[in-house]
Amino acid sequence: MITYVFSLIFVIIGVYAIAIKENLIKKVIGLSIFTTGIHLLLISLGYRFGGIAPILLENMGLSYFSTTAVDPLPQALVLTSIVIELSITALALALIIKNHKMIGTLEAS
Amino acid sequence: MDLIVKQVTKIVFPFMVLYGFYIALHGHLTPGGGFAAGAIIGSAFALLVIAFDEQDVEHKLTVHELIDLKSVAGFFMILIIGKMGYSFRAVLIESQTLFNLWSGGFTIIMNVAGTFMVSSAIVLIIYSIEKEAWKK
Amino acid sequence: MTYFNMIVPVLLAAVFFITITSGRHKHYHLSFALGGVVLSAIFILLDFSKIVSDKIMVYYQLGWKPPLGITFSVDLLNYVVCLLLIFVAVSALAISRTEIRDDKREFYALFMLFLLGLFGAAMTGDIFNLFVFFEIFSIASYALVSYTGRKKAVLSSIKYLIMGSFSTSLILLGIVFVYGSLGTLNMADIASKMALSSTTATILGFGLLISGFMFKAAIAPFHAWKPSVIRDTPLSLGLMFTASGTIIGLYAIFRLVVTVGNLNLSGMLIALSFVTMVLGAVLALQTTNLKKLLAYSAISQTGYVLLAFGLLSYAGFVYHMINLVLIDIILFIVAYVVIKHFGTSDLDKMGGLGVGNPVLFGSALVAVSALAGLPLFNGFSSKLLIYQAGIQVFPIATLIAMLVSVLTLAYSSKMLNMIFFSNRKDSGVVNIDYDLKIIMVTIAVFCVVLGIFQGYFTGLMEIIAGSGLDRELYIKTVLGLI
Repeated sequence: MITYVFSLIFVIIGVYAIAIKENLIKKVIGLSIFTTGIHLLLISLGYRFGGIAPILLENMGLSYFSTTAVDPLPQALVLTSIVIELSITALALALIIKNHKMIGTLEAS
Repeated sequence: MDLIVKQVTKIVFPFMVLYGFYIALHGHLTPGGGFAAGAIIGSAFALLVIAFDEQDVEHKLTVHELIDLKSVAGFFMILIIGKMGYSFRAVLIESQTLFNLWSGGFTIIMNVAGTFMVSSAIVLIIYSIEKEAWKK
Repeated sequence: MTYFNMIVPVLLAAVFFITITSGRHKHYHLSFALGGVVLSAIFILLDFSKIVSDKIMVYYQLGWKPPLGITFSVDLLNYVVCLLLIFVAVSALAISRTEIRDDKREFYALFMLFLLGLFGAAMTGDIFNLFVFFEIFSIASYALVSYTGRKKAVLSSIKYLIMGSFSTSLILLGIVFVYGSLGTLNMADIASKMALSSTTATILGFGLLISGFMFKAAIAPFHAWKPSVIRDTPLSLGLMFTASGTIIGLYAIFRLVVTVGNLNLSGMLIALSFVTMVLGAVLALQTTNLKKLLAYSAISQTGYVLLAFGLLSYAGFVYHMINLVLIDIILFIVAYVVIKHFGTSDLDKMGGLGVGNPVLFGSALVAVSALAGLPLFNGFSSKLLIYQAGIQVFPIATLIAMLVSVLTLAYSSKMLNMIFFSNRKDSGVVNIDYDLKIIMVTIAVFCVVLGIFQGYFTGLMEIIAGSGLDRELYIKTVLGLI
């Protein structure tokens, strides 16, 4: 449950940074924090305290497996989403560098 | 960058690449896989790009050729393996000798191909941004 | 045997070949891009007999059946959206042929990635896959906005990127809620579980998803990015943004609300559509920049489509969506030709083209008449459906829609007057490329045909919209229960 609270805090910090901060780099950092909060929420959906890896072995009962194995799907989703977020951050930073060269400021206005 | 960073980079770089390949080859047994391995190898090259100057990197690494080669190779590997994985998708999940290095079917080849793709993408991103910074 | 599943790999191959072709071979890039689009069109048309007989085509990625694997599912509604995307792509490529002079490799590679994302989002049957394809075309579009490299373009690209990736993150958050409460990502599976086990979290998730799609469709609270982006990009991209971005957003909202969720959001949609329609039309009246005027006009027309949706006139929804795309294609081609002739997009500095350019003037007149909803043109047919639905359900909606129609007539006739007549006597003959001329005239003929055979096409649109409404068939076919 503590991860839900933390993800909420992350999301709030991210939205605050995107909405309030004038510096473009800080906005991008806020975007990153916001997405991280969502990732944390997603990964904690599939988490199970004391769970096992989701590999069905031969001598393992199906009921035991279904009650103890963690959900592997959120991990795959988060991995995909991390890649997307990486490319967005890289593109944003490249554009900000270009903007900084042209105008000489990092402010949004 | 100063001398210390350059020397440490020279020492650490091969070990980082080696560790990346270890993660790629053991992706189906231990935490990690193609993506994590690609990130590690990519960050090793990123360290090189950041630590050394423009002329060093251009002469000794020819990163652009490297990236072209890797992207094309990775693309075709994924294409071929994806086709093979479709034909032999039972092999992907068939249980062989567990915790053996060759137990994951096509997973291991997929991991290596993914490593190529991800590391080349990361090197390309870091190198392009760094090149903009060199221009001043 | 289906062919539509080949579209995404074909477009990806086009991106690949464009990327490895060096910058010196300039004419190859456009050829690869056009080849990809033409192949996609062939694949779509090859599936025509199957879509007519089966109603829904399903393709399982790597043979994994849902809910395990990723599914591509195309019914008549997606099919029409894919056809419209091909129309828009061909027109945008025709404009870009003379508009894009340098950095062709980067432009066409990103353009094809944009198109790939749109096609994938139109065909997929999995909400996470939908998110991924939305991200693909969004990232390509962020990069394309800054393509011209001007100061304003880069800055508006950064702003669009921050707002846009915030909104796509909202889509991801919505997916988290839907997955957490229903435990599945497949659209058909969600639809089958929706009636029994949906909770407040599911509804919240749907709300977040819809708000993310509304950003892409530029609907009222999220419309602010569009005018500045259209102002700073080349017109071929502007056409992609206004026409295809909008229909993908609207299509995704329709699919999620009607087919998957079976939710009743009429009140909210009608309220948002009022704001969108009125705001777009009023802002279009007061601007003097041709590109911005087109952007505001598209926003206002999007409001009409949303109003049809809110009033449960699904035939009107599909009909007006098609009309919006056709009208936008003509208007953007006219704008491209005119802006190239005058060298500026400021309406005050234009005028006097009405004398020597019968083809240009005729097409623009058809587009503007259709936009304003004059009888015998396609805009009238779809607006009539919306008015009729409004009178039955909520008469004030009809009143406001008619009021906005008058505003539309005002701003579009202002545009027509300032381009073609104004105070100047004669600005000479505009040189139009033959391909643009062919596309413009063809689409104008379509507009008139769609308007004259109104009864026939209304029936057709009802069939198309009906395939999106048939939840039972969708669930059974996609899950493989038949």
